[in-house]
Amino acid sequence: MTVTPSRQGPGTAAPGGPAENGAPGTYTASARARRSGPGRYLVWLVAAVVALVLGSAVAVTIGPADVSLAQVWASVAGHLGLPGLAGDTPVPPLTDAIVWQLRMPRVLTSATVGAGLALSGAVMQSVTRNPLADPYLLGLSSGASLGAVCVVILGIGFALPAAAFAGALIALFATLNIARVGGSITPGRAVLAGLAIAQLGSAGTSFIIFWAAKGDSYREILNWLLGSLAGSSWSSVLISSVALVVVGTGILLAASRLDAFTFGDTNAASLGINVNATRWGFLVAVALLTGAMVAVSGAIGFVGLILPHLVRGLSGPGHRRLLPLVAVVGALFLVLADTLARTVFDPRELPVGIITAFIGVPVFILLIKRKRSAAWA
Amino acid sequence: MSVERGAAARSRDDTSGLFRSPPGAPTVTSPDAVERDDTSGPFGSAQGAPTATSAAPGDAGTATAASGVVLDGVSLSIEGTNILQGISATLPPGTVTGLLGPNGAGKSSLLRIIAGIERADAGTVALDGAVVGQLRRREAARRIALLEQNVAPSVDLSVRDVVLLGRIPHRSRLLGSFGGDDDLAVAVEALAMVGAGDLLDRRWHTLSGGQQQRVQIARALAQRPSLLLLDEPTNHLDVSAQLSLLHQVRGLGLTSVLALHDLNLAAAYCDRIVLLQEGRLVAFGTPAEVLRPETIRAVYGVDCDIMPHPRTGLPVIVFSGPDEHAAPGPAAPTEGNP
Repeated sequence: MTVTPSRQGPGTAAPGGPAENGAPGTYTASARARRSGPGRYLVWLVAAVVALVLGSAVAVTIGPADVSLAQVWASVAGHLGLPGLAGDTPVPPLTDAIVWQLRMPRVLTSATVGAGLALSGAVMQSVTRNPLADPYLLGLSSGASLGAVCVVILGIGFALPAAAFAGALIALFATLNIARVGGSITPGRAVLAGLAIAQLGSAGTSFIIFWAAKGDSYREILNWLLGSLAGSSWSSVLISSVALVVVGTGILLAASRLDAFTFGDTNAASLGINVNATRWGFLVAVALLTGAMVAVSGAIGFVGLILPHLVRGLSGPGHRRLLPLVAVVGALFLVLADTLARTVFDPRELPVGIITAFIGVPVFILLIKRKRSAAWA
Repeated sequence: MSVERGAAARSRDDTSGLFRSPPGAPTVTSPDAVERDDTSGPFGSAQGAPTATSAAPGDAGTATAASGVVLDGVSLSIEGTNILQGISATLPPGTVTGLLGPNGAGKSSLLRIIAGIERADAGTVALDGAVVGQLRRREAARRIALLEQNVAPSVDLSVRDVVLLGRIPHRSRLLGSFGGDDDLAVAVEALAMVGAGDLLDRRWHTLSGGQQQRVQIARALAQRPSLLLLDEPTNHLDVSAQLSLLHQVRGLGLTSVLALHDLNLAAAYCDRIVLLQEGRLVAFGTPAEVLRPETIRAVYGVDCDIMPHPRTGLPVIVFSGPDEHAAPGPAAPTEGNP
């Protein structure tokens, strides 16, 4: 006996029948609590920017030589050609050199690299619809390391960031091609393929440094594989900040298009997005950004992976809000992590990637536990 | 024929079968229906024949009444396999069309071509006189909304976020990321249209399957389309959610095309049915015309009887299992055979 609906039947077609209305009150309350309106978002963004500026200033004062905040201010104002703002704090030449030649480039590089990596991770997670995607996990970072090391050690005639970009791009293509089954890329396979490519890139990097064997190979290998900001100079600031401003602006302008991928490719296409061109445009932009960051800092992990997840809780999933905030929080995070890296075991200095891993892995495990129900495989 | 069904469709809310008439007996019963006849124009006559002889595309371009959807010889093949072969049909504005056929008949491919996401190898789809394949992507997305089956978001997001996705094709290309002040008003309105206004602040993953489909339809409505395409919208929904969802879709008054598996749902909620088999158009017309025992047997390989619904008079299909005609098995022990 087939039961057939009636168009006129009373009740059968009532919108939102009893089954549909399960406890709206409870959900609404919790949703309100988690919702971030424009006002609350702005508060978070301003708070993050203030924290970044203050954190960076304090980070410059921390180190073997004692420097006060006032001296930092005076030194920076002096170098920026604003002596009127410098006040009358005396800055000894040595302190000035420490601030301007050593610590400022390092803190600024940390900030731009952190912003760039967090932005890269957020974009990759969206265009691949993979919550585990980030430049480190999918092999881009180690590809970029390999490219950069080729230039530095073997003296192949590319500019450092260009070689790192090429390495990142090759690693990206390799990962996505290995992960592709029958035209579609599953998150699980992408991570496995990325793992393989990352190992290959790391092995290649280690091999080349050993091959060239000069001085402290082990330390140098660790710096490239785990990431370190110890070698930061004003030229690293230039490379990373130009990449961040140019690529980051492009990504921000197109942020709305990332939203369209939320429900998959067909859905994005039905929203008027040219899916393939848009995805590859974003991925190449991310490779460019990652390449520039790795060229100055080596492969720092977990920044791109965990920060987008944490920041989504504050900004919501919409990319117009997520991307600016994740960039600022990423900058703040790496400034703090690098300050820890160079101070906790003072005078010994750790590669910053050790700190980001110590913080990132527990968060990563939490993410896996929390998202167990989601379709990841 | 279409006239009668239009009247039935419009009257389904406020009456209980006043306009009911047995299938196959066309009657013009209200001024409403006459007005509807005008809008469907010269193409209304195409509905009579089971295999449609649709208007030429030239007509679609010039005639003022070329509104609605006109499929003209749509064909698609992928790697030598014919997915669709010469599909022609005319769907008047405001009608709900059911797209039926066994798995692999080409329903989803046809929807994607109508939406302009996939290109046909031959033939055209025209919407209100404009050839869909020639529209820019964003322009097509402002006119046509497609809902895939069984989609899940990659991140945790709110109903508000989901519905606002529908505004993306309306944002300007360069600085679009920062515009859209009236978008929220459109989203709220779209939710209200599907009776889900109270869901605005809910998280997507806390919704029931029926609510999720409803929110997806609101997302589609936020695109402000003139054509709504739904790919198996009732999949995985319980019977109450299936009925209320299709009821809601009918109530929108939009030209809609729904890929469906359930023949009885199609018979109950669609004005017209496009029946596909292995990429070919088998039949096109009203449910009563298309859903005949011999047609269903030929396409699905299943025996059935068709009877009028006791309340609505619309066709109801009662299927018989493979054995029930030839040799009743243990399921029907009372009719023992020697």
